[in-house]
Amino acid sequence: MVKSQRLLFFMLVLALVASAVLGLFAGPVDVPVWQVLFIGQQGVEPELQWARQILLDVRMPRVLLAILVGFSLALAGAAMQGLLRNPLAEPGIIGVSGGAAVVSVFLLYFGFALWQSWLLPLGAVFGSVLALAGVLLIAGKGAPVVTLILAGVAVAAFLSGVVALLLSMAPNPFALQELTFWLMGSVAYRDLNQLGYLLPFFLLGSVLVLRSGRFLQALTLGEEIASSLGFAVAVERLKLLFGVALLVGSSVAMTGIIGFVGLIVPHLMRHVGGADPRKLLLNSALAGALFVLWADIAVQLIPTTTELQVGVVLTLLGGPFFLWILLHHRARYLGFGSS
Amino acid sequence: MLEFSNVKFAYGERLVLNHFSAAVPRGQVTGLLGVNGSGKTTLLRLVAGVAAQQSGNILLDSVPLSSYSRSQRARKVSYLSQRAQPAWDISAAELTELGALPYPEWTKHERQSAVEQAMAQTDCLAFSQRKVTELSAGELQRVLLARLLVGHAEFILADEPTNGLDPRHQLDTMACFQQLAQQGRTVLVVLHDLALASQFCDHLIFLHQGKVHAAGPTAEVHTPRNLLDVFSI
Repeated sequence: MVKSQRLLFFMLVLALVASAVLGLFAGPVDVPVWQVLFIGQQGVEPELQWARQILLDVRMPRVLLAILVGFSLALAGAAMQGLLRNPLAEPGIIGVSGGAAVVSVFLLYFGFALWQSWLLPLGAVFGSVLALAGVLLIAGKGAPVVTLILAGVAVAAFLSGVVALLLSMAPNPFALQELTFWLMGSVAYRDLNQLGYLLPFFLLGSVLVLRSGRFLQALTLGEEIASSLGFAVAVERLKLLFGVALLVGSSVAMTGIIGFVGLIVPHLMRHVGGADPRKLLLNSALAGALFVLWADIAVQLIPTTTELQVGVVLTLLGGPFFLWILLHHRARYLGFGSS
Repeated sequence: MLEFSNVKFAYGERLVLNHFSAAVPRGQVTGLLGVNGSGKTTLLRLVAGVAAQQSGNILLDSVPLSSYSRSQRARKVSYLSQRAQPAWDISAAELTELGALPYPEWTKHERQSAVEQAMAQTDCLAFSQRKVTELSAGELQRVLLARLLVGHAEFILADEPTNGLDPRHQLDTMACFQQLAQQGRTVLVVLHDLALASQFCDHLIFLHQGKVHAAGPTAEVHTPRNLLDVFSI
């Protein structure tokens, strides 16, 4: 375990910057990255214009998006685990990713997404917040954690049913393929304008969640103690859940469903940087960004006929990795996190 | 001084506290005794702000509890719950540091010295860096107790604080409460051990069916008659 939080932060940021640069080199064609980056537009020879276009329009957005989505999902995961006091919680457990997926698939399905470029991202965030509102309404005000989880699981199951229904009614195989691929999660070839619309939601969500660190610390001993330590549990919980809904909704809007990041990264970072739920937030967010970025670089390097979806790779790697952590530390989990 | 007047509380239809009125004197250790389900924990939860008051008055130094803000109340009242178990495998020192949460203005140095002092008081310094999963039940209970002592809460509420402790640490814990009382704090402790109660409490409140059955200095109310009435022993 890294004892100094500052050192860990520095290491993660350094790794992130290095990996982002590495990400600019990844792709099917060789691009003279340094030449394009440092010579500037005027200096670029006409034959290098194509390289500039690839770098700025394809690779840079892809790297940025991987970082942003990884950051958001892992942050949301750490927040949900802290809130529910359960290491098996992940952001989708309260139905937010399902809500975003239903609205996105609906908009894509009926072609509304083509009307206005802001419709898909904002619709997904709206779906995410709506699903959260539904869960909270079902669970009731100040509901115990178990009720919240059960309501979330029920809503998430219903929403995945709606997505399946929409897919099964797809007008033609091409539409079905497009929707399915979209849902699998990828950061490739996304519209940067949409990222612009979503940035305020990412920022607001991140601020809401990162500012909840002290509340999550107080929850270490349960809601009763958090309340006695001066926290308005119901209000703090609502703020945190709203932040999670914004982060997950924006992520799903941009990249489809990328699973496992929100579950695994906080787990991993608990062993690397300690289990304090407040410190875990930023540690997880940075590591999540790194994790998705690496996975996206990996899908570009793996020699396959069609490029793999990063969501698929993360789930494929994530499952066994999660099992390994669980088996490695099963003694530690016995009796912990179950209440 | 902590005062209750006509406090009523019900969980749904089930009335737990029924016109409960009592005073808990400052500078003394007061033991709250009663059978399971008699409302002892509910009483502590009301003062700690965990459960919302339904009717009646609770006064902290003659000021109604309801007039304090959440953060003011958290600085005034420290609460050790019976059920609190850490969800995460943090160190004993980190767990103790949770007691500093009502004081966001403290510097890191102030926080650390308050934590060290509290851990020294409950004999936890030897294992301050150990993870909570590696502690015995008794050691964990002492760490939870240390958390209670970080900060300067004038009112200390503890729900069965000697649970799981060996005899030596039971005595140490109660002695620690006595010490806190001598510093001028108001200490209210729920106990099931009548011997500990008679040895360490200056004042006792017998709670029976949501009402005070007897209250006063230990020598006066720790009588066979009251024990028979309340516990049927």
